Amino acid sequence: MRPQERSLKFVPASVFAILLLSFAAQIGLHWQQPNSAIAARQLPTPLPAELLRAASFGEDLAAAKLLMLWLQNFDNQPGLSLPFSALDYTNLAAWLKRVLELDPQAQYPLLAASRVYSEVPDLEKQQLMLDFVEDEFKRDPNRRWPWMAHVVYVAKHRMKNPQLALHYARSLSAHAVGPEVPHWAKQMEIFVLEDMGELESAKVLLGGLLDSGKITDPNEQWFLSNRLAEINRRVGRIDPTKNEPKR
Amino acid sequence: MKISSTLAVTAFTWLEIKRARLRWFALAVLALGCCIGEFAATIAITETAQHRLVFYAASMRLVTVFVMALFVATSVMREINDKGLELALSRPISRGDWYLGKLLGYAAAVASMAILISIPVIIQVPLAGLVWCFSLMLELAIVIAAALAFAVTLRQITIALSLLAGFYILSRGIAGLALISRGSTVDLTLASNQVVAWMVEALAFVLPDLSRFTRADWLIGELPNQLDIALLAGQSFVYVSFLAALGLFDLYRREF
Repeated sequence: MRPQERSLKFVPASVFAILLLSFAAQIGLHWQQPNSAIAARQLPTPLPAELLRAASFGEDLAAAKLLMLWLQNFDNQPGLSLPFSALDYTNLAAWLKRVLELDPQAQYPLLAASRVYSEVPDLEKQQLMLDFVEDEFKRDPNRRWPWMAHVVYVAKHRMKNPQLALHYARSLSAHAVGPEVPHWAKQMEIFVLEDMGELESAKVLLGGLLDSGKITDPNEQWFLSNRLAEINRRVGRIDPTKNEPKR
Repeated sequence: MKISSTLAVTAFTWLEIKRARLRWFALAVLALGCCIGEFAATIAITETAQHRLVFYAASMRLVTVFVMALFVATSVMREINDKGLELALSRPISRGDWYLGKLLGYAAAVASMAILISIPVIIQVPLAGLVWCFSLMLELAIVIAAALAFAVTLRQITIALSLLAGFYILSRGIAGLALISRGSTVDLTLASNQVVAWMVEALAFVLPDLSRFTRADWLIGELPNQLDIALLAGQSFVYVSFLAALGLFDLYRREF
């Protein structure tokens, strides 16, 4: 007991009773409270970026991070957990775009689109997410290429759509040309073509790449030469003097 | 506890509110809210009426809570620091009379404030506006009960207001936080995540879920049913009683 405090006996019993009863009632009320809001809410149309900037009082980055967390947890609503496929993907893509407008350096929206929201068993929604990643990749290709590479994988292996995978792989090769982008990513088009049975096209591209002298890493040269030899064998026109793997 | 003493304290509290010119301030806030709503409606391409209503309602809810919490906390602190409380208690007024009288006076103030602020909403959507107004009164009752209890208990304006802000923000977000803490993106096999989820759930038990109160979506969508409204009233009554008992507990132990 502190010097300026009186003993507990000065507190009337009624106050004790109200304190204990109201606390018990609060616990009981929380326990028994029905989930009145069990009704799946749809994603609203995103607010304009200018309005979001104004609302964040200039803290664009903080607003972007907060929005991303809100969006990521939108499938958890009071009393229910929505599957991603129940979300409105047009609005979802628009929100992700808004987050990138507020924080252009962020990789989170692209990761979410390519690795989380594209996992739904709905081809239309999957493609919407992949198209979103492609659009945003083109704005900063040398930094955002990993997500585009994953998009090629999703189109090829998850959606089983080699034509679409080829389209994304070509986009990746055409835009991600910086020195920081690894060659395997730039060469995805060749691998997709090979898997599609377009061996001639793959051979021309791979041969051209090896002849261009852009590949300087000996391991990579050996690996790609091996692939070219393999393709040559498959098309039945092996030229042992050209592009044989050397180590 | 004497009703006449309680009502006398209530009357003096009401007099203080009148002299603080809170009604003129409330009118200015109302005008500002109308401007915010109108601005939102102007920049919206579609659903202009909905933008106007939602922006007005959401901003006014926050402003009213802020103003009333600040008013109650500073008023009580001033009374304690100026020895007004000691003067009142030297008269035949018990600590319970004083506390209850203050609470009733502030409750009357928030009811008036809520009605005034709700007028533009009631004009546009009468039934939904009335429900929104009633819910705002219930929410403000919890806020002023918390402001009174924290001011009496903590006796420091900075600490009391900081705690009040934390209490309000947590109460508004606790339902969402509880869901997120056990969401699909949280790895609950980790002990640290389990502890956080458990702590958030424990907090949810002792805090009122203010996210259920005064929702702007009532004004443009479905209204809450009677059970929901009754539960809001029940929650408000229980929590105001709890906070009042908490404040009284400390006041009775205080040595003047």
